Amino acid sequence: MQYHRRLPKFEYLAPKTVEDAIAMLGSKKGEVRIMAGGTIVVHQMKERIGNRPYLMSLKLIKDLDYISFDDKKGLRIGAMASLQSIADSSVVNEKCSILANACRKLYTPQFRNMGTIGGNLSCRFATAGSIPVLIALGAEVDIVNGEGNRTVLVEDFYKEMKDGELLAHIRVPSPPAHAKWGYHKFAVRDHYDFATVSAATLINIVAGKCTDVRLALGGVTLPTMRAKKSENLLSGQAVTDDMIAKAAQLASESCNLGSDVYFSADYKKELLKVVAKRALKDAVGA
Amino acid sequence: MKQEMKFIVNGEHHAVQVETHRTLLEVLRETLGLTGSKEMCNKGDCGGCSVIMDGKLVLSCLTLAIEAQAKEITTIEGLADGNVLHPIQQAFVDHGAIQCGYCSPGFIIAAKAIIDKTPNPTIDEIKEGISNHVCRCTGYVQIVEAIDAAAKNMGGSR
Repeated sequence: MQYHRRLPKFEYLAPKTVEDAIAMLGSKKGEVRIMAGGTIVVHQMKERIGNRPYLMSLKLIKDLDYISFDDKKGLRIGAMASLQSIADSSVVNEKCSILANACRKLYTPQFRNMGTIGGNLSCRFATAGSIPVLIALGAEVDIVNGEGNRTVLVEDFYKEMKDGELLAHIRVPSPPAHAKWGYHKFAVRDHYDFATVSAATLINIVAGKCTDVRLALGGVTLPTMRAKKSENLLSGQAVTDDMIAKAAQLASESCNLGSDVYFSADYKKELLKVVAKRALKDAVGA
Repeated sequence: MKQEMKFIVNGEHHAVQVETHRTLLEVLRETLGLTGSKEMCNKGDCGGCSVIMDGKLVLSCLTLAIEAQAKEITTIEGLADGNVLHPIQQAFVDHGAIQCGYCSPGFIIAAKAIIDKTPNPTIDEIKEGISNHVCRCTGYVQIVEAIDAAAKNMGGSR
């Protein structure tokens, strides 16, 4: 692949409201590329990947850069909230520390300052760091198009969002009061690199038995990110070391992932087993 | 197409005509002549182009120039006071944290961002703060020592 040091020419669009953005997307169907923080899009533009005549930046839409909390509805985060602002947010740290914690572990200060949660989701890379945590939390996203809004689960987002639509908000329901969480990732270099594999889990244990459990994997293909088989295995059971090992094994067996320049798929499956086990153990305090 | 853009760089107001496909790095270096921020990988891997924009450390090679509209930017040129080096710059010199010097502007700006946010950073916080940066000459030990010493020298002040 050839890397160009300069950007190609394009027409720059900078809507100030979501409505304006939707109108622009509607009037120039298939010709507009959406940019959030720019860390992925500007890079890809220099690689001459996916370029279109128009580039629409969402940076001036102030309504999409917020973090709010409501006791009933939980957290709401605008798509343009930076990963660092989520990591630093006192309300996220208090109400949903797994999310703040995971955002703190993503990439580098520069990428967290520039990169947004909406952009991280919208790139739909298997390695997008925020996805496993949001799936484990049961988060939903609001997708906006010319006809209106719809809300879909983060785990379905990869197949739901179509060209010409906009991811506007992320809703994170409050975890059950005594729910425990765990998050682990493996990356070649702790911070800079994308996680080769990662696992996020949220578990609620009542009277020694696991009532709700969600386990999500990173670094695997998008449709296999939620480890439903492992969840079913653990659900209603007492969580022992043996069960955790079985659940991690099952997670690793049921996901799809490919080889990359560093690791073979087989090796990554081994890594995933360990990472999933650690996340589960962290959550139950074993 | 060119658009007029106004922004503040190192305390000076600038109004420039920029094309929409120019990066902030290109405008800083080629339009304003501020060649302290370096173009190396030009894709966010090396940190050499880092600047502080509205208090946040960003990569100017991945920032569109027009998106710096009305922003306040600090580059390496904005640190020294005349001929007197900034304490971070002085610490880099004192600790031999510079060899060829090409990565230094990025590291020093990142060090400023670390100390601005955390006046007394731990060694781990320093390492995390420079995790976007690459040095191919000295290794990182002296750089981390320099930032640690600078933070202590500055006595928790900015």
